Amino acid sequence: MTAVYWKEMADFFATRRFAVLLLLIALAGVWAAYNASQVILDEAGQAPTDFVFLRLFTTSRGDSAITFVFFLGIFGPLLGLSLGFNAINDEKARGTLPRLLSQPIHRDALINGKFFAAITVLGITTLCLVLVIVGVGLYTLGFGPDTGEMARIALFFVATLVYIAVWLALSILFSLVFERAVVSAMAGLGLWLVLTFFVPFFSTSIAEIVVSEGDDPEVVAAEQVKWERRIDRLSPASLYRETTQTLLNPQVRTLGLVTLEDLEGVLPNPVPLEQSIALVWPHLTGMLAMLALIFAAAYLRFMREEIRP
Amino acid sequence: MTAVIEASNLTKRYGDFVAVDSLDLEIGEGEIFGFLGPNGAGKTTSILMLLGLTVPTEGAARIRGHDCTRNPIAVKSVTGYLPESLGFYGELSARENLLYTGSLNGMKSRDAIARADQVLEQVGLAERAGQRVDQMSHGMRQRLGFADVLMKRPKVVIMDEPTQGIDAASVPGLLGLITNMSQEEGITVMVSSHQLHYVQRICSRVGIMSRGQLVANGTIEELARRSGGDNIVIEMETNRIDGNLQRQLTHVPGVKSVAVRGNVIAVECTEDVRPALAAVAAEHGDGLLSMRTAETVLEEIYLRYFQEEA
Repeated sequence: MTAVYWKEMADFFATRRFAVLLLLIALAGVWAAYNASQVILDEAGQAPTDFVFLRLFTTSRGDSAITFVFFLGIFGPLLGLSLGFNAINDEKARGTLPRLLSQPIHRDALINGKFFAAITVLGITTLCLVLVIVGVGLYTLGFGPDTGEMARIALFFVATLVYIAVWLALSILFSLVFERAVVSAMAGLGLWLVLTFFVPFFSTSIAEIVVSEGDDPEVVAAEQVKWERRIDRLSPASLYRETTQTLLNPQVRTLGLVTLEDLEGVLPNPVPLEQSIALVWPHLTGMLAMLALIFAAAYLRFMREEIRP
Repeated sequence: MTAVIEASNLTKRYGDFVAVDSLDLEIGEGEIFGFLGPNGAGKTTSILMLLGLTVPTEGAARIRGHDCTRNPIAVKSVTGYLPESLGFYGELSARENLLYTGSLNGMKSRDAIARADQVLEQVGLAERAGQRVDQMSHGMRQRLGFADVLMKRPKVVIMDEPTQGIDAASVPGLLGLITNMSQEEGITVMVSSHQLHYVQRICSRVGIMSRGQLVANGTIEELARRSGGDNIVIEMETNRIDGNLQRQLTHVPGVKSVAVRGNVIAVECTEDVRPALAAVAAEHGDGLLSMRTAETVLEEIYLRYFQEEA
């Protein structure tokens, strides 16, 4: 598998497609982090002083919601899709698949090598992006993250990697299902659009249809919100959004419905890291389960496929 | 002769369709075996089963004693495969493509570089080692395919249409390369091709597949006898050809038929009657310029098999 792994790594770093996407995300990230740092500096003395560094990832200027996390949530999947959409069908189109599989390697070495090489590239890329943001923060704010913030940033990195890997696995599956790379790319983009942008729109309507009647309007509204969340969480984008919100904002205490009674008497203290992890644990395992299921489907399909020259 | 490639009752079914039906085959060490048949006869499926790329429905295949289904890695470590359209990474150079093959075969970097240069030299592409493959002609890519197959120092080579798309001037070199593999390195070669005249030049034995079954297997002479009886063809070249000579020749005992092909008279006989034919030509007064038994042409044998089937 190592031969495939290193070859794929070299290929990924050499493609223009990947370089352009990476540059786009890096520039947008730096811009978002720089804006966030200016907001933090403007609000110095008024805003809470705990976990200031984390606000670099989640703060935007004015009414815009364009934060670094937002950018990564939107464009991270594109990075994942760009590394996998032609993983197998391109080998078939070039006629290299029979040549590779007639070498003394196990068949799964090819798909595993491609997957792990892409994960490594995504890991290196995401880490570099996070470090760039930290660098921007150090430069503009004049101080670095404390241990608690570093731990939360590390977990944010892991969650981001898992999230992008879900899209990578999906694109590898599409590269097996569709013979032409352009079709698998379009299918990946289509699903990305649906799961990232349309699911939140439809979840409200579906929740209203499912829970439409009841004696108490407040109970009905609460039920509708619960259903809306359930449907939203079928999308990895929603799981990722809630995970990053919780990890990078220690003020988040719950991801469920909060009533005014719940908030009564609550001190505005940040929650400890363990509690944030407990909150996002189902989300993380949910994303990991999606990743495992999708990759397993791709793996089985590849192993059972008839290879013909 | 030690059997290097063995297939026993090898069968592949896709639903109700039988792609390969009870194939029994043995190919010995250093032999060049021609694997023939029309499109869809089951040649490629048989090859894929031999390489462990497709699991047989029934039967078994072994290469150098390794079971092709249970131990495909051992099989592929000794077997080179050259498919009809071998793909390369166009953005990489010829040498880089070969180095990747070397690394897939577990070769150390230094050994792979030395071997790549050696095989590129062997196929006449040493000058093009650094050239991107997408800038190479079809013929050059085909030669690179040979180099790719040789990278792993195979004991068995399986080729599908190795001369397809190669200009006539380059073919003798490639056929010479295949012959050298067999004669000098003792490599067992299995060649699947529709270019029968090339197969005839290099193969010591041929097998003909039809509708998934191996309908013929043997040397060209053996197949000629089986498909057309024991008849031999004697070609006579004379100063002039007239109908009278043709008629006299048909009356020679042992002669079955007489046909004129250009300035040559082809006489099909049940036995070698060259002295009698020479006497008739001398008596008739035509100057006999040459006489020889015609080589059995594989193409004729091949066509005869499929005419019989039709």
